[in-house]
Amino acid sequence: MELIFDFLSQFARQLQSPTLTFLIGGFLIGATGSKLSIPSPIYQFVVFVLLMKIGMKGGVEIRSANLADMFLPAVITVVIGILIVLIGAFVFRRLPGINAADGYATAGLFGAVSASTLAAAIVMMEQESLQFEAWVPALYPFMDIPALVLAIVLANVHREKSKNGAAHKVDTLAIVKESLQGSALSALILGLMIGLLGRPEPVLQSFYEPLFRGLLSILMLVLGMEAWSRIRELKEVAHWFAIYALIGPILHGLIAFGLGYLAHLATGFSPGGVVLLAVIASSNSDISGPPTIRGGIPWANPSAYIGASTSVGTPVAIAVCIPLFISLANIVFPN
Amino acid sequence: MFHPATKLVVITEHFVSKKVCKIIEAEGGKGYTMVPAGGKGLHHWHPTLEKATVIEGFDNLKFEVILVDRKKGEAIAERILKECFGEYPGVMYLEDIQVCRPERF
Repeated sequence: MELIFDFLSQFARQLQSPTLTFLIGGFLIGATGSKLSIPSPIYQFVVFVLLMKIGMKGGVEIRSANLADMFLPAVITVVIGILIVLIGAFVFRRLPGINAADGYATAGLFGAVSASTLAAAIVMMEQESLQFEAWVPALYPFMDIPALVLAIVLANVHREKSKNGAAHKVDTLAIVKESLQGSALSALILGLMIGLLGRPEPVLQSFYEPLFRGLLSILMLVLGMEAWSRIRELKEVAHWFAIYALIGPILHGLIAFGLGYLAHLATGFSPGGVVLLAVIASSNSDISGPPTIRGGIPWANPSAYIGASTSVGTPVAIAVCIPLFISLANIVFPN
Repeated sequence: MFHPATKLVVITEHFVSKKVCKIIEAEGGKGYTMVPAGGKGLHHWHPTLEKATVIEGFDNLKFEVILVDRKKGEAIAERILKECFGEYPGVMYLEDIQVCRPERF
């Protein structure tokens, strides 16, 4: 009861936060058919600045962090990525009227990570003064890559088996390369390297950090507009994709929260770290994951997995999961 | 000044562009032009890149290959149809055109 009350009050407060108001605003702009649009180069610049800031901050912190502390959360992160895809594959296989490839592709995207949800969670957690180890965002690729690789491998194995009984070899290295070359992950890794090897503090504090919240609001506006524009595509595919996209993020986040809590007990992983891990798990890739899936499973219908992810999964991860896990942390980790 | 030639036009997804380029070059195309493409397809609207699309790589490209030997154009089209259009959407057509400096094609 306390959790529900706390969540509802938290949720009402979060609805007024810039992150969510801009997301909802973007959705409404899309719904009204407004001609307002954010040009692609601006959007790409926003993603670059946000991920560079997250990466640099992580890199600076890793310099002085005990790397052994990262080990258990990193292992858990990989396990969660794999688990989400296996659960998704299991669920979609049992649902009627689902093309197997569409199921694997959707499960892969939901196992992968959304850079925008990650950035939104960081801002909302800062507002709540919920501290986390700055290296936690660097766990992103540990969940993203195994999930995408596994989904593509499963889809290819399934396709070959249904054709002639022999599984064909998937070029795993090419998938990893494709993921790392995506704009969001490239910026995050570049930021991490600069933070780790250089001394970027002056530019981080004077340029990247002050810009972060403002640029995030623009990203949320674009995400809201995109969510609306993809709803029509989702209507063309089985309604199971929308239901999965509604429930999946919450379930995946809860699994991660539970495993993160175990890491908290074992190694003192911070409550903020547990929340961020849960948000990473609840998020679904909206920038770099879809092209990797399109390249790896070209026979899957993009309307199914992109519709599920962009129009339902991402809004649920941002608007429901972030406040939910912050509220849950307030109860599970009382000060 | 102008000489008869053939133009092969291919409109397809960005994802398959590298493969299309390889086929054009392997079948004797000396060059090609690539421009962003958008519009209404059989299933839905494909936006151009002016508006921000969150997802990378789902834009469409239009390739134009000019060839003085029509047979080369047909060979390129046949391979693209077989190797790319099974899994990726696409539109392809040939046009009779007039070019100057035919030795370039």
